Amino acid sequence: MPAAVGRIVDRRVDLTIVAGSIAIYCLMIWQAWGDWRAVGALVAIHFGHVLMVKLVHPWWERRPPGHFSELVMAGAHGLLCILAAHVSHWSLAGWLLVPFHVLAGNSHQDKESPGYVAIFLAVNAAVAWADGAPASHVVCFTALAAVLHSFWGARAGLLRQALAALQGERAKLEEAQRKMVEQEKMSSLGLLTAGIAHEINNPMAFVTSNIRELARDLAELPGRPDLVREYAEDVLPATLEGIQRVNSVVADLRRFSHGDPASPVEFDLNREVTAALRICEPQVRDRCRLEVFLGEPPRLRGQPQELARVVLNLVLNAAQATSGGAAVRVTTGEREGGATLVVSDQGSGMSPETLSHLFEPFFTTKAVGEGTGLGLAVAHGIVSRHGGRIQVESELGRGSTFTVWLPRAPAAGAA
Amino acid sequence: MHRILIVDDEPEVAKALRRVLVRQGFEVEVSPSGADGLRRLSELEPHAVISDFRMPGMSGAEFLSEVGRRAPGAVRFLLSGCTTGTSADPAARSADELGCGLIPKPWDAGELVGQLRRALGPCGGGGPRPPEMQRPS
Repeated sequence: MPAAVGRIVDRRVDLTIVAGSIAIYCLMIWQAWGDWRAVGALVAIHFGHVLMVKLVHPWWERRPPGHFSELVMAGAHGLLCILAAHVSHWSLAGWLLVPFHVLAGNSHQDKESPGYVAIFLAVNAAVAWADGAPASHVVCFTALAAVLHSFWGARAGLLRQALAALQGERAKLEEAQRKMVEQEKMSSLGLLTAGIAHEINNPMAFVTSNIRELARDLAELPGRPDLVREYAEDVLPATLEGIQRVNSVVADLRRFSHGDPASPVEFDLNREVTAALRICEPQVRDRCRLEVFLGEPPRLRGQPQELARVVLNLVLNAAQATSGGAAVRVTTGEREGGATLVVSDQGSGMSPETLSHLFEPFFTTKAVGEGTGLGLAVAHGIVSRHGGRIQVESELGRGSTFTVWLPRAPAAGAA
Repeated sequence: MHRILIVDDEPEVAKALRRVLVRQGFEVEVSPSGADGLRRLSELEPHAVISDFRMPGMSGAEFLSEVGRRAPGAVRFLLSGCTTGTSADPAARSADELGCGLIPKPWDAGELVGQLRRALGPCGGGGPRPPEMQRPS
């Protein structure tokens, strides 16, 4: 947890600064003991310092962060520091404030102000010089502060680099873990669905066959009573249609679970996109306007009809989220040594909740009978089997963008 | 008249298939398992054998491979719930390896009969007669 660790470190640094500053002010007061005006002024300055840290800082930090506002804050601290040294008549304890201020100002993990330190040291040296402090003190403490500053800066830079590297690694690990969980979920769902599909398919085989034969026989039966005629002309055809629907859902389930892969062939993504759009154009015409931008994707290897189905499912989905003839954009192109297919709409968009279940079979936001919740699960299965990936970006009310990436076909000759 | 042996552990599937084929003029025998099918193979001498792919005990692929050894003249078909005829799922792979035909489940009666007729060719020199005339008692 780099961010949390950073906060703990920051808190400890803050405590050290408070303790250090109290200690140094005590030393200064001890050295100035007897000169009550100086002691009073030091106590007042320290009080002012504490007020600044407790009250002014939090208020100031609400401003948009920037180099300038940090510089103003550091400058105010610097002036207080020079004032305290001046009041203490540049005693040794007063000089201690100079390296302390340089270190304290740079101790937080995310601050860096090399120019400021040079200005502070120059102003401080000038004031001390004008106050008549011994030249050896001015030179020695200024040099000490400069050395400490550069030493500290180098270490802080290293730490910052290490932290950034750690955060990068962590992000990669989180992404990998998310993918693993996703794959695990999908593969166990795949096994379950394959089992269910098989169990439904077997009885459906004879039900389908028997009802078809019955419908055919009744249709040919001479001299039918009215009741039988009703069955032959109305009930059985409707029943067969229902059976057909069940069968196509089962076929979809099988496609999602283990696929139905014909031997892979090389194909052109653009041709499949065009074919799929020809099929779904009449279905989506009333809802949206299709905008197609075909780039030059590399040739792919796999099942072209399956990829056409992915296009079909994505476009139908986009169209269902769209209304009023807004555009649904289909784009193909090349990226990272593979082909991309992007389907984006300006429709209703999805909530994070919907997004997290998007590719699970039977997850649907449509009304009963309007969608089985298999379209995207099937698309996900097909894309994964082709070694590709499918990503979604969506915002409620703004629309969704599905991006499919597929690896290019291996060079000719490879099986 | 062509004789067909259907092997399926699910009796209703076998019955439905038999109904379709009998109407089309085939003589059909049904057996509930691969082991039983093999026992009756020499007595029946079928022209074609249709077997379900997934069965308890002897699988459809094992059964049909044995049929290929014992009755090389018989045309063999695997019955499987694959969704397309040319798939590379386990059933289709087995069918390819064995040199069998593949019948999808659920089947389409017209396609199924066409597939069988093409594989069997004309019947015993007499050529195919109108199906209605061949309906067995």
